[in-house]
Amino acid sequence: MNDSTIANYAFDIARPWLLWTLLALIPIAWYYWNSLSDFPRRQRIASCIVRSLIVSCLALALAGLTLLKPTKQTFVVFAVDRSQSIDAEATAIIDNFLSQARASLGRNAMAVLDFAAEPTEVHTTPTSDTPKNLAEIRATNIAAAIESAAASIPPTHVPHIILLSDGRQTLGDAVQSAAATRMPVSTVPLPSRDEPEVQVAAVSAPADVRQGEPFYVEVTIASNHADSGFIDVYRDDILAIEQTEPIKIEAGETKLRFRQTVNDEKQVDYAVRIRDFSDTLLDDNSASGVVFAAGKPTVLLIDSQTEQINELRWALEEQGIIVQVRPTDGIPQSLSELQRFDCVIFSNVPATAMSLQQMEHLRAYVQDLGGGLIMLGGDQSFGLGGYYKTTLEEILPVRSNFEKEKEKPNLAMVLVIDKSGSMGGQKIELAKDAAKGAVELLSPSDQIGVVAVDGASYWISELHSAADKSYVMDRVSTLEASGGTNIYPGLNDAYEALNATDAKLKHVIVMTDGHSTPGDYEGILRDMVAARITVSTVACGTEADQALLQDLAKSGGGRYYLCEDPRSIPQIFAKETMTASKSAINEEPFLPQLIRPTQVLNGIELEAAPFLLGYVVTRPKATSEVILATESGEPLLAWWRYGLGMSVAFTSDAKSQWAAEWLTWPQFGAFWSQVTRHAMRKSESKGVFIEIERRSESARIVVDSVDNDVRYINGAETQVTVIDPNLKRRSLIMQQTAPGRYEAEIETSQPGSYNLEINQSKNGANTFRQSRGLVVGYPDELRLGPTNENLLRQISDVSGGRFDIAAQAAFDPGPRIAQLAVPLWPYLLIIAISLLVIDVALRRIDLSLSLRR
Amino acid sequence: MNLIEFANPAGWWWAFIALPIIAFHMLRVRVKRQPVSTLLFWDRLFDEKKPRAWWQQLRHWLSLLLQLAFLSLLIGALVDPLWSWQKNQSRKVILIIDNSASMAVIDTDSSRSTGPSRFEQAKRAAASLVRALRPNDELAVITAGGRAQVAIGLTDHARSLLDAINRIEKTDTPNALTAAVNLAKRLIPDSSTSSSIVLLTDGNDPALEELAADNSLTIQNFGKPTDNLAITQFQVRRSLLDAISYQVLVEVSNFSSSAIACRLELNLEDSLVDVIPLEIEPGTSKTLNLDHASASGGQLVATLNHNDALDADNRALAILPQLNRIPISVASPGSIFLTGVLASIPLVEVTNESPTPNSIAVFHRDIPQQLPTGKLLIVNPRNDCDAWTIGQPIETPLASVIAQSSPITQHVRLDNVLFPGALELNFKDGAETLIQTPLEQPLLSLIHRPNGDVLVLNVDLDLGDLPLRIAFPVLMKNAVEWLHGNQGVLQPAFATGQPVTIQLPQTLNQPSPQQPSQSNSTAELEIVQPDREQTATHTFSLRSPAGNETPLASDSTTATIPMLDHCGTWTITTKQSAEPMMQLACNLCNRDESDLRSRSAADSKVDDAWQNIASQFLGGRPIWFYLVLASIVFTAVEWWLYQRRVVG
Repeated sequence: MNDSTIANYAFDIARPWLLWTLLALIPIAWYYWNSLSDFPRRQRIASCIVRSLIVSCLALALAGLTLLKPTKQTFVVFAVDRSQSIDAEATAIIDNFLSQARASLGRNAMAVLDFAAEPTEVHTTPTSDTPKNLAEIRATNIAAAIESAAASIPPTHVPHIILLSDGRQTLGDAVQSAAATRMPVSTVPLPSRDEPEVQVAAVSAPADVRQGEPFYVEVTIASNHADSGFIDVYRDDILAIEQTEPIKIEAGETKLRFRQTVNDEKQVDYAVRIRDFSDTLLDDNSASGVVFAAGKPTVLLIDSQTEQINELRWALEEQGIIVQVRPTDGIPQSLSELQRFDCVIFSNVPATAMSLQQMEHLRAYVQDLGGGLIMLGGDQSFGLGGYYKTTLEEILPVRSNFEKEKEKPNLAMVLVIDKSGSMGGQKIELAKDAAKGAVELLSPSDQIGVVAVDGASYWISELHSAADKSYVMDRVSTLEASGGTNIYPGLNDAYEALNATDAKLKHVIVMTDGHSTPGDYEGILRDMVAARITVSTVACGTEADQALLQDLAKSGGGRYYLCEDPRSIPQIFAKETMTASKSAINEEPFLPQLIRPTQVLNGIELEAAPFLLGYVVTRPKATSEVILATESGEPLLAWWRYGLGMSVAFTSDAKSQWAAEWLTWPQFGAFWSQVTRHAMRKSESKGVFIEIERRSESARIVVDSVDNDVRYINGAETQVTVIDPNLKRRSLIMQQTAPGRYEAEIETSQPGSYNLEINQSKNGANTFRQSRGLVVGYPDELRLGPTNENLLRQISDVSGGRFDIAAQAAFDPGPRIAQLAVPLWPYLLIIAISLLVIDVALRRIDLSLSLRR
Repeated sequence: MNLIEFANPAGWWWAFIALPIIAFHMLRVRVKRQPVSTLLFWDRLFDEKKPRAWWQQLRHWLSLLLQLAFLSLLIGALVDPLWSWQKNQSRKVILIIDNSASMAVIDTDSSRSTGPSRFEQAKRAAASLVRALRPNDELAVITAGGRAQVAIGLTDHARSLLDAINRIEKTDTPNALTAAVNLAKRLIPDSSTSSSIVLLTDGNDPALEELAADNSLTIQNFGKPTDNLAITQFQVRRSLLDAISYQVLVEVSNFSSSAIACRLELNLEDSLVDVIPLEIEPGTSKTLNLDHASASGGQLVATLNHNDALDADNRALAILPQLNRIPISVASPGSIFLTGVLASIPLVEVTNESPTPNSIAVFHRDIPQQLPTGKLLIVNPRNDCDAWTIGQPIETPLASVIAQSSPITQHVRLDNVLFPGALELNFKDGAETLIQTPLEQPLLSLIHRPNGDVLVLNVDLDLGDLPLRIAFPVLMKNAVEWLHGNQGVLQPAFATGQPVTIQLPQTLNQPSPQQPSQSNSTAELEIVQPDREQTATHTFSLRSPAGNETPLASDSTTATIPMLDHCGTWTITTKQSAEPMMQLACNLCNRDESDLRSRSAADSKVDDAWQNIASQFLGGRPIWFYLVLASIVFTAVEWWLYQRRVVG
């Protein structure tokens, strides 16, 4: 033991200021000189020395004399990975390692620290059961564990940290922490999960491609066993690549790639799914990547009858706009699907064709992501489509309710609402809201009545003038659910009441969620038809007697709705009310009137524009710009900026119904392409390079921007708007970090797709606007791949530890020594006590005498 | 439960020492025979003294009593009694010392011009805290410069703590107080009430307000609000405009209450580049974008010639990337004009060697049937090839329409200039026409290919005056730079205290960029063979500006650098060669750290709390300490009593 030679011993005084107690030596010396003692001088000197030694010993004890003894005693902290990627087999290895290590403990000390996303407290007592106080095991932070372990080692021992982990860190940087600890960190690689597991580890595609340019999409499949199976590649939800033969993969990572080109599309999503492998976890069997292609603008055109809108489609395509036409079922279900388009055009699409969620997506798309929205008129648009009080109406520059003109025919409407017990809770509340909404939409000359049915029927509100809206609404509020279902008496009441009025239009809306007791429906409907009363029916949920309701609507000359989401009841009622009152459509030919000249319509000779044959009546909103109006002054073409995007309302249509004359107008294409281009997202990609670098819990966005003269754009306001998977939006200012470079970091802790809109402006002028997407898959902790031996090796290398250390070597201190502080005060007291005996002896025994004797 | 316990009960055995002491007192050895001539006077004296005989007796016993009392004090100390409450109460204190850049500030006032820096003051305060530590109390020290780091783990050993505090060095990093507090909280269990966190800082952190609201935290502020002028951003980047120019972004901020006039000096490799006079309004910053040109690269240093409290932010460095030469191989007999003009372009190296993937191949007149891959500049094509067919000579080859937006024709004025000898070209796969005749016949065309673009200049240089015009070298320079591709190389200067991950230069491992081939048209999954070579780990080391070398963790393409904690140039070297492989510039560039105007409103409250915690440490020593202290006094008094013969 060379290291523990005398040279390494040292003394230390912890409280040096207490050495003033040595001042007690002064009176001792003084009274030695002024002693009255009659002992011989030599004995007196000896006595004084002994007493001084006693005082010195005590003073040193007080001052905290400590012996620093070199020691090879080791304090080992075992940092044990308890994250989700550690399975039972690895836990067995941990337990085995710890018990072996404990066996060779000797005089050394040890402690165990469990960690996952965060380390727990260090515990020294041997407990083998897994810790319960780890809050989050779906992440691994080795760095924090090393820091905590380092802090818990007292300096009186040779430090040693042993890290038992699979090295798959998801948070922090373990190598940096290990390098900073100045303590050896040895590592024990734990095996990765050995239940058969295959996963799609990554789908990487170039962020930006040119249209038509071939590129590779690279797929990384990770597996812990050799296996074979199928790898399906979906391009925008369409199976693009499939195999006839299963693909063989090795244990570890297998990289595959496939060649793709993007033509006529803005954004392409690639999703890779694997099947027929032997596998345990399902969460990790798919992953996606997004490719952006710079090129022609793309527009999504939605029409309930797609074949009718071909003229508009051709017109736009001729003007260099790529058009994708879809029926109403094709309304995008997700924000990232919407993001593929620069503009969405709704042509005669009713609000009932989309869910509230889809409307929210549209709002985020326009408001936060700068997309364009155009709504064309038709018998299912605006008010007639049930947009009253919907999210979409908020976005549009026009309102669907309006002051009805006096000469319009008045309407008498009866709502027959099933108030049976099954309608309780949300449904009845929504039905009440719907009824109130219908009341709001009616004009003062109209009449409305509300009949509630359970087993029997009751007038909630007798047929009453809609001028007194608050009366009817108060009555509707009293509606409460209970009882059975029988709509026949309700229909009968409605018939009788309507028959007695002299309104021009008579309409009944029946809503139920159940099966009605049988009745003479045929008879009553015959009577109703005879009395020119129309009947529409709403099946609230699939439980309802759909066949009956369909029949009622069919023979009643109305419409039938199946309403699976009760939240859309108000939309249906609004649509029905507007449709029944027939007031929202004006089908008289008119010439568009230019109200507000605009650059957007430059080159369009509107004076030469032919007749339009009809439009939907709307009211402009206060801040909207009404460009074209009808002859009676209602808006025809209006737009406004909504958030970052633009929404446009065109209350006539672009098909043969109302625009038959326009279709032959030579400037039809130019008109629509100019309006569409104005509405669509302005994405100028020239000179902009966007890089998105994903880290474990965040993503870094780096934008390089240059102007047309390839000079860096400096000092521009650059902002990124992020819409997370929950549709929450955040805006961040991107900081300039170098000439032409702007950076921002966004948090991406939730899995799902993130939509980004990056927007730069300088001196008030927009320099570019770009959208990007980012897909965050399952948490990194589930990314099971093999043990990251490389990381573990690096941790031990930078810190001077050993990789794959044996349990027996855990307490081998290596060349290091620590200084063990031994407080000496007990020994000093013992010396003082021993000296006291001599001290007393020197007083009681005359040495000179005894010597002489 | 006992009120008092003994840590060292074995010490009671020493009570037997009392036996020899009593025995000594029993011995009457003190009677000493002394021959005298007469007893006359002695008798008298003896009679006088008689009444004091009992006292004489007692004096011996009193002496014994004092000695036994002394002994019992010592034994009482030796057995180390502990109050039971004392045994259970061990306090844990986490001391956070801010060693960030702003702690280097020396706060001066009217009475003194120099003094200890904030950092020195904080270290002194820390040391005094350690000295006042009670036994059983444990203390740990965390530094908060750049990132939270443990200087020493929980221990009660004062010397180690003092050494650890002494070892703490000032850094040039921004502080990481929140991270340090979080780490501190991890070290002390929630359950223990007798733990506290003490933060020694200069309050130069916006997060401090929030931290001050935390009751488990005691904050001691050092330093006073001070004015400062700082370079808060500095980066240099090669420009995209041409090969040799570069742009510097520098932001200077005035964190004071008065306007400051000063000069900013830029030096590239010790030679002066620019001096910019600055006048900055209080509380604002000025951003400059400076354009300069240099064919060589090196270290660019910005210096503010202004004296203020903090030096670290008055100087900033950046590395201007070195430029690679652009190899141009003239593959077929060139024209003297062409080679002359090409050779005059900065950084261009004209060779006759066969083209490499990185070089630009120039073909003049003779064009191979099959155009090779790579970047090609073709002048005066006279024969067909796979990309075009040659037609008739153009009758009036007058340049009329010149593409305005293309960088190739930037600053090229060629309106109504003749391109003699131009032939009609019919491109098979289409080409972007940059210059054309009034009849839309291409004179300068660009063919986009995935494996290297081709620029075709359709003119016979030996005819006409095109080569003599100023536009020709401009066009050629643009062409070469476009084909070569200016990437706007940026070697970012890093900020201190940040985690740094750098891409290693590709000289060590050349990943082969795999271009998708045109021929393979079906989309199929193919397996990519892993490159075993790339997985080898190289050994790198990192040298700090002060010259300390540390090993550097890396994988095949990236290296992770433990926090850069000092401003200056850091160097990455390999074991294989002594030459520095890469240089990293590191600056403070942190607005929060440079802003020395104090933000902490609760200073006084904070100081009170500090007094509290300091006083809690004093006193509370173990019983043995007081017993020993008493015994020292006791032994001195006893000595006096004995020597003055008050006791025998």
